[in-house]
Amino acid sequence: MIRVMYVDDEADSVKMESKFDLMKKKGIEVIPVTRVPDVFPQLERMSDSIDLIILDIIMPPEEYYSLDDTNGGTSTGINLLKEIRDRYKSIPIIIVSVRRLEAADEEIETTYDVADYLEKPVSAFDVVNAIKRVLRNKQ
Amino acid sequence: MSKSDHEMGGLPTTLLTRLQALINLIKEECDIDALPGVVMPHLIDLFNPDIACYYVKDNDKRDYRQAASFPDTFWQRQEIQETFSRRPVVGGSIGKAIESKKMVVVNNPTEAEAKGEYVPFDPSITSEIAIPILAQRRLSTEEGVVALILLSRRERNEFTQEECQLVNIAGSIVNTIYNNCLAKELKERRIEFLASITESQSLDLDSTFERFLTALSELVPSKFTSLWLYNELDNSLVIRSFYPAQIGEEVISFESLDRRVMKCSECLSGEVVNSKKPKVFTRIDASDKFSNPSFARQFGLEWFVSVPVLDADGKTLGVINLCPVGDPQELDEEANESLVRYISPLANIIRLAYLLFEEDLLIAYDDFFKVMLEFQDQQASWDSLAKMIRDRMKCAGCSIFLAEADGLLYLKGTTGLIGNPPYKAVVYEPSQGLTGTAFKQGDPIIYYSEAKEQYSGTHISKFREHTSGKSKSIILVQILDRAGHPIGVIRCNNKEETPARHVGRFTKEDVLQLQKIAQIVASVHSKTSWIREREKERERSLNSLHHELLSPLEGISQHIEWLEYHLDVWKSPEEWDKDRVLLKLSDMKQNSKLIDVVVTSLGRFDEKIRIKKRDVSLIQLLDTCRAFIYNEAARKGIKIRVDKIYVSRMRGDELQLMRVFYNLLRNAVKYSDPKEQYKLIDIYISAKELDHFVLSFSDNGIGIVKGEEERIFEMYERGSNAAKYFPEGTGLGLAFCRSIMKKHGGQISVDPNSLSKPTTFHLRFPRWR
Repeated sequence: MIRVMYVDDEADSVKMESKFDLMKKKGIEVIPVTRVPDVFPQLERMSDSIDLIILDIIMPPEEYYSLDDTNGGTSTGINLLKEIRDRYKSIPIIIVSVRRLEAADEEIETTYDVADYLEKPVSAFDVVNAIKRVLRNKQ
Repeated sequence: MSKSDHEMGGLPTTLLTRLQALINLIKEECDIDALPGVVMPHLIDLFNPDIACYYVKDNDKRDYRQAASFPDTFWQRQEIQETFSRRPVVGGSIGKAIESKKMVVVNNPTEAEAKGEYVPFDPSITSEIAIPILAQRRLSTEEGVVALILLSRRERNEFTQEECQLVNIAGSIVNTIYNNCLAKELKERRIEFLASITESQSLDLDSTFERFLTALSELVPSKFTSLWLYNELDNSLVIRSFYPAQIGEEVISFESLDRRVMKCSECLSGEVVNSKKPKVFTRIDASDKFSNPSFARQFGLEWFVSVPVLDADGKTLGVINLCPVGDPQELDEEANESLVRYISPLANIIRLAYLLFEEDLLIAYDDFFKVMLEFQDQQASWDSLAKMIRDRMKCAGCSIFLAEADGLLYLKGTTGLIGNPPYKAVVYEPSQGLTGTAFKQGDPIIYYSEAKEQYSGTHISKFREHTSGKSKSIILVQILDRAGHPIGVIRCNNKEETPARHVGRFTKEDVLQLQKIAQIVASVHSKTSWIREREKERERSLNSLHHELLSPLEGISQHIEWLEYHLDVWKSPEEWDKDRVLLKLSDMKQNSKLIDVVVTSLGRFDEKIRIKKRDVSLIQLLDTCRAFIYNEAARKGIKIRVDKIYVSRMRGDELQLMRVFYNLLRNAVKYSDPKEQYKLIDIYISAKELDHFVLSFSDNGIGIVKGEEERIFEMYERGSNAAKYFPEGTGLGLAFCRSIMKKHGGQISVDPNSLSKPTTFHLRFPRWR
């Protein structure tokens, strides 16, 4: 069973339940994380058992980052990406967001070694395919 | 001339003809300088003297110099040239004629010499006659002896009474000719002067000043004329223009002067600034207060007259200092007044020029605005703006500082002297340095390197540090916002010293202009930052809108995907997980509702909202909305309590009202505080007024920041707490609610007492009777 941490403020919603349910059926267990402050405590506990992280970009920074630092919350995921890379060099990361790719983002992706980028809306099967592709490439 | 020449009891015909020839000269047009050469042959013809000379007053040397003479054999003798080519104003027949302003006849040289009324210049001379030519002097209304004709005879009989009468007649004819020429010349000069000032209405003040001073020096012949502009700010006079550019071999520049900036209290011209009346200053070499002693010594300037430049309101704009050729005694009060009259048009020129500057500034607004919006990079915008200001102010450098939230001044844009990279980050405490002081004190600052004692202290050394002490003159003015609070400072350095002879000193008028520019900068700044802010906002809104639409769409497609998969997997109806299918369907319904809300709120929804009022059940409406939001609320552990709804029915548009309620409920669920243990949304009614009732939605969510209670109802505006916890959001929902409420004759507001927690929204509806 592949274990994936899914960081999205809506990860506990009904619609996501559909997605996670289908992912599970395809052999991927999802650990949903809805709040930014929970990301690192969670990672610390289970970094060894997590195969991949899926990151949303637009998320409430809550008290973890300031609004200024995250451009009003619209780049919270980028901040998380940098911090995760700082601490965990090897966990593959897939970004899922509504934000279209900009030149600056591409630069960030290469700098921080982003394995894949999925544009919302994204179906459960797209996510599954991306995860499997990334993990295969890693091996 | 003998008695036998007499005919018909009058003058001999030959004489009459000669006199007639002289009279004819009155009609001729002739230059004063050419006059001696024209009249002398006639006089010699008439009186047949052995020696004759025409002397003219030399205003510069204060004596009379030879202008025409007869015969050459006599006058070319060296000893005669040395002694008699110039005559002093006192002594001899000449002195007497000057003093009495009347013709002087010497028939007995020995006797006259003893009385000092004759100066012997040839021993053979037996009689002499001196004819003065009287005319108005250049500066005064009083008549003076401007020229003198000397006729001498050798070893001949004395001048007879009749001859003397004839000389007198001839003298008055020459006088008339002279005064005619003078009047013509004066008229021409005045016309030229007037022409020079009327054609000089241009923005280039310096060339205007130059033309004016040139014309003035032609009108009132002067050795040196200078224009000093009065600087109200530090009560000083600053030289702005002068004439001529060369005295003798010496080229004059501003640097030739001992002082270019004078404190009014410490200089002679300063008295004129206050008295507003012209004043003659004599024996300036002896005065302690005279500011340019070595300059005056070098060019032999002994006295000058200071004339104030007064505008229509009687304000002193400046001072013109003239060093006229001639005697200070010649200047009487009337002459002074005519000087004031001559100079008064200059005030208009100055005023007009500044009006033109102002008009020109209106155009600047557009230019400034364009430049501020042109660049994505703010730094480049500000730098370009500084450059434009520099060009307008005709100075070497300009810097714009703005205060930021930390209370320090930051260099936003700069050009010229301090435009080197190390100075980009110059930060001033609001009381430090000239810039800091200008920001704090309010009054504009004008600084001259010559007058550094005025601004001694730490900020000068600080200033020197940044400019390497290169600046000779600096002005600083505040940038004020609409409310009159300082938001920054504009600084201009070093008025240019160009070939057009800019003085390189800022004056009060420059300060006024810079203040106007500062106003424009403030206005342009607020407008452009508003536009930039709006643009950012719009972009954020678009992003949010994108997200708001995508999110429910994604939800729907997610569920469809799930259903498709399971319909395929579930072999028989018994395997169906009915509850989960219902849950998915209900979520899909809610998501489509969301899409509907977002789509409705796009654009100018005010116009789009159509209200069809019907009799509706309030409780039913609230229940439906609660059902819509129920799943999401339950997931977050939020309870929704509908309480005390004793107004059961009302009039309104069912769908639109539902949107309002749903919006408020959804906000309450969305913005619920994740840290809160017990989460409750309370809906209740209060009806203290006869004709209105209030429906309230109260939650214990994240709250609204004080001061934002009005703003959150504006389009594209979101509370800062909301943005902090929930980045997505269009900022349209509440604006939408307000519009619907208005159309129902109601209001929506936040309870001001509930700004922190719980947040309560009140919907005030008119009662339906």
